[in-house]
Amino acid sequence: MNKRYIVAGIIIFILLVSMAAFIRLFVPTQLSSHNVTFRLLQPNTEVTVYKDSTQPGHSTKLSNFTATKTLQLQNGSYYYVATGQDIATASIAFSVSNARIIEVNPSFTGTYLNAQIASQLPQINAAIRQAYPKITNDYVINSGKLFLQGQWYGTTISDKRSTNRNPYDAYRIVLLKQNDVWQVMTKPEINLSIPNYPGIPKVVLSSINNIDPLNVPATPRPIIYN
Amino acid sequence: MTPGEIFQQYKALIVTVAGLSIAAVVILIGATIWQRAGKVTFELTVVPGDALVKMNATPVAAGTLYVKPGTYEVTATKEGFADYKKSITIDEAAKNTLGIPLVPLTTEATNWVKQNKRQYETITSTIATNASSKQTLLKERNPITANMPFKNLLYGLNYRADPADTTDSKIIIDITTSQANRQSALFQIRQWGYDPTDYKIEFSEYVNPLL
Repeated sequence: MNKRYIVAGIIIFILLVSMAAFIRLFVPTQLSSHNVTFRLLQPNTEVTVYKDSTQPGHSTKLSNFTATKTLQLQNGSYYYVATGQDIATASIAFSVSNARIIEVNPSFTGTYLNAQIASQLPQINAAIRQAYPKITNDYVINSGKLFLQGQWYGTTISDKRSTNRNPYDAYRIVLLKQNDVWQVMTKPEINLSIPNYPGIPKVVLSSINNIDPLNVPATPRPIIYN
Repeated sequence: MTPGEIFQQYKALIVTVAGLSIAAVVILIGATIWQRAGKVTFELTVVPGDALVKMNATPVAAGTLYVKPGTYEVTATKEGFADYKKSITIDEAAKNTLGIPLVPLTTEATNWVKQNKRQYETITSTIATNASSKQTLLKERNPITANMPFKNLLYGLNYRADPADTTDSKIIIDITTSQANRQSALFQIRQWGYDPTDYKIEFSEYVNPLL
């Protein structure tokens, strides 16, 4: 009788250890679900969460809400769409592999941002000239773009002598509005790179690097931001 | 007594020993899997072998280590030798290796190095091999390097490893050209299908007049 108990005990023990090792290795990456909290940072925003699908047009709508909400989601790929007044509609992809908080802070529309530029330009240009006093009368600060929620601004600075046939270097610069004050976040550079400015969203740097300064007016006019 | 009779006599003992042996093996395998879950291998070599090596201030022994991916500060010290300190990034995709040949400072240490020249030659050879594999890794992680070096009448583009990068995966693109053609060189990068924003770029003969 004792022998049977010993053998049964050993078998149960082996099974338990094997199960623990299996769970440790595989379950976290395949079956687990986690709490994902969506924190809405802007009022009057509606968020719809979808489960991503490898087949186009086969995404599954999971939830729709207008205030901060926590969903329990399995590991995998998802996206959400935020809509609202003056909000640029875009789908934002995210993945779930552990519990996380997602701050929903969608960009404003180009129309809304362009309408804000004119009133901000005097402060912006003053901040640039104060930070880099070598921007003398030989240079012109071109009209730039507001990004995201209007807190980022990027523009180019070009040499007045520059022409299509004889181009001089154009410099790109990015500012951030913090506590209602515009602060210069980059040096004026020919190319603003992510490795040098990891804290600045890529959409801002990439868009400013793409501007052709010879085709940008020095005086403000509406620019469509996509 | 026949073998069958011997087995019958010691059956309980044999079953128990066999069961315990299997249990021990399972425990050992389970514990190993448990301990190594989420970790990657890191080959660490140091000469002299009795130098005190620490990773993030925790003493470690040279050899094959299993560590979680991340950035570590590695130090190695031994009396008579220069202190060694390096920040490294260990990740899942790379072959993670580090060779540390400590530099002798005192006469005694120099003599030790002379007597153990072979160990230094081995570790130097390993470092050279690793450098070669790092170069391969650098190319794999930066497909744009397949286009370089590039040179035409207006500009030249080449790349080198970013010395400030602890992951050994980032590059600096060097553009050799005159002021009039710098934008054209950047446009060339876009033509290859890459965004210059993703790279550190340095221009030859360039001084920023606004700084």
